Amino acid sequence: MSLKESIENKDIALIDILDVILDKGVAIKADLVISIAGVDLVYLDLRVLIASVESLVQAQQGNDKTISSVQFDKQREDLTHATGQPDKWKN
Amino acid sequence: MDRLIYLYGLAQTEEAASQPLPSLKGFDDAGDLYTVPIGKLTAIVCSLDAEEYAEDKIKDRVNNDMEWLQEKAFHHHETVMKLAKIYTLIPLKFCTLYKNEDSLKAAVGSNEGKMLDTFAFITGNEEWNVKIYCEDEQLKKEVSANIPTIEAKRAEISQLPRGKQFFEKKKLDKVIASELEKEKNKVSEHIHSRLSEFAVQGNVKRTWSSEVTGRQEEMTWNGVYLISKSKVEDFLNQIQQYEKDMKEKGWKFQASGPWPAYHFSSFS
Repeated sequence: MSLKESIENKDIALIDILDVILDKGVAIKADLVISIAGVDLVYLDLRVLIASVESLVQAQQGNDKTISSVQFDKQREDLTHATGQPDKWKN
Repeated sequence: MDRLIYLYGLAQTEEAASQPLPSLKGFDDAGDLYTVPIGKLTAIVCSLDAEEYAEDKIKDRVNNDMEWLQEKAFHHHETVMKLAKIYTLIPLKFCTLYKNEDSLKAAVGSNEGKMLDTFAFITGNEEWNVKIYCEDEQLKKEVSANIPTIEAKRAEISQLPRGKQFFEKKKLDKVIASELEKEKNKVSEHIHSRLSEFAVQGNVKRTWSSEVTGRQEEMTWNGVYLISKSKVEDFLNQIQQYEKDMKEKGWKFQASGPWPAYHFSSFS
């Protein structure tokens, strides 16, 4: 496996996704209703930043399944455990 | 009922016409993605309920509903990744919404020239992100050992009365901290310019605090590189080499990609 393939197949952390999709991108100003360009990552809750999923692997394998709620629940449990603040996750 | 248009990305009409869009679920997990040809460009979009996805509602959720943000950020990312595998794609930022198809057409149409230039620029290239982290403690020791004036100052301080030692040590710590920052920047800048040699273009992004990254090490560099496909393996080998050579000194490297060309499709 080439170096590229091994990196491509790695899990990608949400922080890296947000770093890319929120921080920079094309801005077409004319008649644009919304662009959440100004969101500053610093203010994002730490909870979301610890999580990482196999989204790239899924994309690689052409697997159309998005992250299942089971996976989310599992991550949530892990995070709850990690932060020691179980109530934070309740709606 | 009013519908907004969520724009994921733009492809070239010629390419879009020859490669049919696969069935992909939209941002609301209900409708499907579809294409809107606008001259030489084709917008890949989904439509959303104008009330549910009003600007203030989205802003509120981005700021207060982390689960929603996580789910939707992954949706945007995965969808754009899939599109970028099929087409040469200009990716759009998260939550780029237009009032209606006419306003989308007007915006895209008036930028056609710039966008065609962008397609010429990104075709055949990949975007890669490199984050460099450093364990300060290790480097700090090295920095203070390597600067003769710091050693001399330390010796001088040890001769002072105890009360004075405390304040002088604090001053010295400040000097060391600033030397450490200088050293980290110098090393990172050197690596960046070396990595940029492999790239069509290399850009520097802001770094994130360890609170945001959740890592112990400080992020010292956050760079994005647009690289010709044929040079990607060499680029990554160079990073791996840095990793090996600098591991002992507390440096860590994290490369991710290939990303849709988010950082090289900007018109501003």
